[in-house]
Amino acid sequence: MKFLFFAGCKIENYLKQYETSSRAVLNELGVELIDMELNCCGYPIRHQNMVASILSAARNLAVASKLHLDILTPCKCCFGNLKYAISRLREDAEVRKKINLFLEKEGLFWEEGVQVKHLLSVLYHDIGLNAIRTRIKNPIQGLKIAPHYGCHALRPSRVVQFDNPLAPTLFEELVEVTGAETVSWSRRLECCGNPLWERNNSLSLYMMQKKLENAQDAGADFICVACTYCQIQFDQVRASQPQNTHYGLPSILYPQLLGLSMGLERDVLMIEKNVIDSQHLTRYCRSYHQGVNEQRSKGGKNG
Amino acid sequence: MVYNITLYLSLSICVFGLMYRIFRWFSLSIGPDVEGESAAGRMRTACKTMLRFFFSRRILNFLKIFFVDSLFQTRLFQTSKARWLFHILLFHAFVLLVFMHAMDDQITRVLFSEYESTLNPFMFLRNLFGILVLLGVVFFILRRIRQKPFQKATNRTDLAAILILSSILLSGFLLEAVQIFSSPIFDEMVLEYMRTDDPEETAPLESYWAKEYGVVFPKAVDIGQPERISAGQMIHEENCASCHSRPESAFVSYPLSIHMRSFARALNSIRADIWLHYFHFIICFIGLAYLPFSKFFHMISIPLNLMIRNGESRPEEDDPNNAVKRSIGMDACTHCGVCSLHCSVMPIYRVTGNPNVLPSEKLLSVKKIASGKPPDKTGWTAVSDGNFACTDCFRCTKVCPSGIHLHDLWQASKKELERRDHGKSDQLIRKRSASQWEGLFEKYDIPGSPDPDDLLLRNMAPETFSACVQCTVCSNVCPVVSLPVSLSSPEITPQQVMNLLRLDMKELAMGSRMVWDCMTCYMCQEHCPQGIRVADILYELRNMGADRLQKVRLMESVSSEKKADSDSASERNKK
Ligand code: SF4
Ligand code: SF4
Ligand code: SF4
Ligand code: SF4
Repeated sequence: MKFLFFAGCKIENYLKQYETSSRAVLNELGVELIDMELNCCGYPIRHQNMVASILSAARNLAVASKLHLDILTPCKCCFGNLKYAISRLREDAEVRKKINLFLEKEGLFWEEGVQVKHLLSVLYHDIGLNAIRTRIKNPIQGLKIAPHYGCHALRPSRVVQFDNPLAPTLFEELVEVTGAETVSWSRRLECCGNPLWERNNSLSLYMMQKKLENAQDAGADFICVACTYCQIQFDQVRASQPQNTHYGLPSILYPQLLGLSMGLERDVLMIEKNVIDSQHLTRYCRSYHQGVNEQRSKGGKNG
Repeated sequence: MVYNITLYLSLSICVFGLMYRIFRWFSLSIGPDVEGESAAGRMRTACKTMLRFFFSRRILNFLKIFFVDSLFQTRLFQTSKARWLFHILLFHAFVLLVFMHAMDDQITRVLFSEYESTLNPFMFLRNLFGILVLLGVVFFILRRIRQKPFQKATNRTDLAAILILSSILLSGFLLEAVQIFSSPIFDEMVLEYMRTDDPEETAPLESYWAKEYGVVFPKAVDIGQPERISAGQMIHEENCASCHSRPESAFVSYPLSIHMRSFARALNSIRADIWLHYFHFIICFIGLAYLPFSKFFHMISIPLNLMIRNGESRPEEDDPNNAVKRSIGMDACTHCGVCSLHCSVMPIYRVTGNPNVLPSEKLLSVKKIASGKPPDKTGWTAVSDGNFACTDCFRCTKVCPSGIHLHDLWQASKKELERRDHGKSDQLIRKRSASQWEGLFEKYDIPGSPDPDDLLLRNMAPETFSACVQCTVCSNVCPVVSLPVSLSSPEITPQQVMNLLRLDMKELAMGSRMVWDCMTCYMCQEHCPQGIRVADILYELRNMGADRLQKVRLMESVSSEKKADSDSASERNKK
C-alpha cells in the first residue's frame, strides 16, 4: 500500500510527534509513504477566498494525480478541505475550468481520480481491525479513553464520507483494538474550538472547556484525537491558559496510543513531547517499557 | 585628476552609506516586543553582548560560520547546487578581480615584483575571472527569466545590480579589445620605451606588431616580407617582450578585438581606448558608491546575519538584541526569491495577485513599515492580507540561503499590524456592529449583487436557501448559539441568517457576529431537514464580507487622505 503523505503546514514544527508516530505505525503495518513538497491544503484561507482555497487543494491533488498516488493525511482539517475541494471541482464545471486554467500554467491538471484518505480511514478500511489486532503486543490495560471525532472529518458527510455522521463508531473501534476502554460522552462529536483560535479566543476556549468537563464526567482518563489542530488545541492551547485546569485529562494522539500497544519505540512516539501529560501516563509508559525490555532480553537469550 | 576625484568621491559616499546602513540596524523597529527601545540603548546592548562574546568560547563557532557558511556559502549549496556553483564562482572571481586588477598597484605589484597587466599569467587570469563573473551574471538573468514567479518580482534593485555588474565586465573586455588594436597606444609606448618616433626605425616593429599582436595602423602596413618581420622581432625582443605576453592569452578580449578590426581605424582615430577607460573606471566607482545601497550590501549583511543567528533554530523571546537581529536579517535579503518558490501559500498569490503573500515581497513591505514609512502602493490592506495568509510552515526560514529567521519576522510583523489596527478581517469586523457595516457597505456604494465572474457565489443563489422553512433545527444544534450571554452570544442565529438572505439583506448578514463566530463544525448543515448548505453559506458570507471589508478599508484610507489634503489646503487658504 502506497500513499502520498500530506503532512499539512503545522505538523513539522508544532506537532512533530504526530508525524513520527503516524509514520512509525503505518510503516509497521506495511504502508509506504511517499514525500513530496506540497503546498497548503487551503483550509486556512477558506474563510477569506474560496477560489484560492480550492486552487491550493487542487494543486496538491494534481501533483498526486501526476504521481498516480492517493493522498493520506493525518490532519482532519486538511482532509476536510481536500475533500471539499474535490466536491466543488466535481460538481461545478465552471469552477473546474477556472482552477485548471491556473494549474495549466504549471503543467498540472485536475481530474477525478485521486482519493484523499485520513489516517484513521486507512487504518480502519484499508488495513482493517483484524490486521491491526494481530500486531498488538501490549494491549493497553486500565485506561479509559474519550475519542474525539473532529468536525472536518465527519461533516459534511455528503462530502467527506468518513463514517455515519450521527452515530459514528470508527474511532471507538480503533481505540478499543488497542485494548483500551472507551467511554461514551455526549459531546464527542462537537467542535474542539480550534477553528476560532486567534479569531475569537474566549469562545474557542469555552468550547474546549465544555468538552473537557463532559469527557471527565464520563470518567475518561484521556482524550484521544487524530487531528493536528485538535491536538494543538487540547494540548498546547490549553497549556498556554492558566485558567483551564483540566490537567488530569490529557490528550493523546491516536498513533501514539496505537504505537504503545504495538510496542513501538519511545523515541518515535515521543509521548513526552505532549505538553500536558498526566502522572499515570508517564507511569504507564515506564512500566510498559520495562515490560518490553524484559521481553526483549528474554527473547535475546532464547534466540 | 578625474580619476582621483571620482575615486575619493565614491569612496566617501560608500563609507557614509555603510555608516547609514549600520545605523539603521539600530533604528528599524518591527514588533511590539521591541517597540520604544532607543537606538542608543540598542547599541549599548549590542556592544555589551559583543564584548562578552569575544571572551567566550562561542567565538570558535563564529569563525566556523564565517569560513564555512559565508565563504563557501553552504546554505546556498543546500538550496541549489547550480546556483551555488555560479554564485561561488562569481563571488570569488569578482573578489580576485578587485584585488588583483582594480587594486593592482597596491596588492599585485607588491606580491609579484614582475607584475605587468599585459603579462601572463595576469592577463590570462583577468580574462578568466572576468568571464566567470559574466557567466554568473548571465546565469542569474536566465534564472530570473525562466522561473515564472520572478519575472514580476524582479525590481529596480535587482536590475541595477545586474546592470552595474555587467557594464563593468563588458566595458572591461571592450577596453582591452580596443587597446589591443590601438595604434595611438603603440605610438606612445614606442616613444616611451624606444625613445624614437623616426618612421624608418619603427617600421619593422610596426609590421611585427601588426602581424603578431593585432595592432591596426592608420595606413596599411607591409607584413609580407619575412626579413622585415624578423627585424621587427629583434626590436620587439629588445624593447617590448619583457612586458608583453602574446595577446591570445587574453582569450576573451583578443577574439573580440579580431572581430572588431573593421572598425579599428575609426575607433583608433577617436581614441576609443581613452573613452572606454573613463567609462570603465567611472562605472566601477558608481558601483562602489552604490554598494551600501544596493543588493551587493549582502556581502556584509549575510555573513553578519549568519553569525548573529549562530545556528539557533528559534530566537529566544526575551533576547534584548532581537530588534537589531531582526533588522540585520531584513538587510541580508538578496531578493533571490527562493523562499517564495517554496512558500506553502503560493496558490493564494496566484489567485489574488497580492505580492505580499510571497515571503520575498512581504519582507520588502515589512522593512518599509519597520523604518516608519507606510507600505508601498499596495497599501496596508494588501500587506495585512499577505501577512495573515501565512500558515507558519517555516519553509521560508528553512530554505533562505541568507539564513534569515523569517518566521520570527512574520510573528513580529503580524503583531505589529494588529497593533496598528491592520489585523485580520476577524479582528476588524468586530469593531463595528452588523448594521454599522451594512451602512458602510452602502455608503461606499459597494455593489451588493454578486459578481457574475466570481465562482464562489453559486452557493448564494436563491435556490440554495429559498427552501428554508425556518424550522430552527440549525440554530438548535449550533454550539455557538447555545453560548452563555457572558461570552457575548451572537445577536442572530443561523436560521435568522437564512431569513436575512431570503429577504435579500446579505449586507446585514455579512457583518453579523454569527457569521464570524461560526466554528465551521457543520452541525447545522448535517442536520438541516431541507438539505440547505448552511455552513457553506456562512463560509461564503465571510468571503464576501472580507472582500467588502477590504474595499471599505481602501475607500476609508483614500478618503482620509483626501480629507487630510483638503484640510491642509484650507489651512493654506486661510493664511
Ligand atoms: S511560513 Fe508563511 S511565508 Fe513562509 S513559506 Fe510558510 S506560508 Fe510562506
Ligand atoms: S528572504 Fe531569503 S530566500 Fe527570501 S528572497 Fe530574501 S534572501 Fe532570498
Ligand atoms: S435547519 Fe434548514 S430549514 Fe431549518 S431553519 Fe435551518 S436552514 Fe432553514
Ligand atoms: S457550522 Fe457554524 S453555524 Fe453551523 S452549527 Fe457549526 S458553528 Fe453553528
